[in-house]
Amino acid sequence: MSKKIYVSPKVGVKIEVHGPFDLKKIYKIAKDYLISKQYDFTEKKYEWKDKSAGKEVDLVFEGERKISELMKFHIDFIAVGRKMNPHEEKIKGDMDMRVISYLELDYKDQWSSNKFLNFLFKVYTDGIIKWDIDKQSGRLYEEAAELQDKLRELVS
Amino acid sequence: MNKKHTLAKDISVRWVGIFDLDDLYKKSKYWLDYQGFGNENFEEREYTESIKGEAKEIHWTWYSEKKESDYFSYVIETRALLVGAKPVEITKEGKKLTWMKGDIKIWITGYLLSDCKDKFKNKFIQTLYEKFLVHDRIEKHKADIYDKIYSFQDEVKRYLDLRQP
Repeated sequence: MSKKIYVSPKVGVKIEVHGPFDLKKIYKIAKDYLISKQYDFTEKKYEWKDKSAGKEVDLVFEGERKISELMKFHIDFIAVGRKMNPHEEKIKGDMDMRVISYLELDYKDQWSSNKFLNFLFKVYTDGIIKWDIDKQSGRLYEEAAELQDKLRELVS
Repeated sequence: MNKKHTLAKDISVRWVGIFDLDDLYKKSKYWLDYQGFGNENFEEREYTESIKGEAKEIHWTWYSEKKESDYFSYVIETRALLVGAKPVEITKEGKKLTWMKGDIKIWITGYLLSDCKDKFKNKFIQTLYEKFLVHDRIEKHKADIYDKIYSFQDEVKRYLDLRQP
């Protein structure tokens, strides 16, 4: 079974906005950023509800990029909008965004077929290539932070 | 033997509110037809309508395939589930129309199907063939089907009038 090493908190780094915001830009920034960094982009969820207090939206974008035969980067973006009503050119309401980033090791499931391979995998990842995992974690952290900065800049 | 190269699995679009079901159903099918996924390569594998209390539940499943060559096919599978559907009358451009109010969710899965005619009997030779001889073509087809999947998703959003972002 593949192993996830979270670079962000498991629930993601939270960016919250109450008030007018530009949803079109948020959508575009998150999507374009993942594509520009060569992530395989999946728009996993795109949901809208028409409620009496305003519209609600749930978006989930998944980005994954192969780094090696053993390792993949993942950056997921989740946006939950509530009580959204049109406000001039923008939307007024509450928006909760999350950026979740993690490394996925053994995504091809080649090291989990028996206990011995599992043990070797542990030795390999905890010892032999630990330096590389740390280095790649740092790289992923920076990429996720860049997206968070772009989103923060947009809503601040 | 057939091999699926999945580009998107169950990407979803959901809308809870009022919409034109007839338009959504016909136009999304028309889009698939127009893009070459129709005719004999289109199968409506399931269509069920059931009454639940005062509301309707509608479910449909489509399998649509576009032959790209003797070896490659593009496949888009669509699943839709509408629950709590009730007809509502609306007035649009002075005309009275009957639309639906309910909760609809559509899942789209798209993949490239290699060896669609099932000619290879030996998996090892097929792997060699795909890895060394047609690798570039596979990558090109993957990019094409990826575009098609997201264009289709975009169309569905448009029919549901969900293109706010």
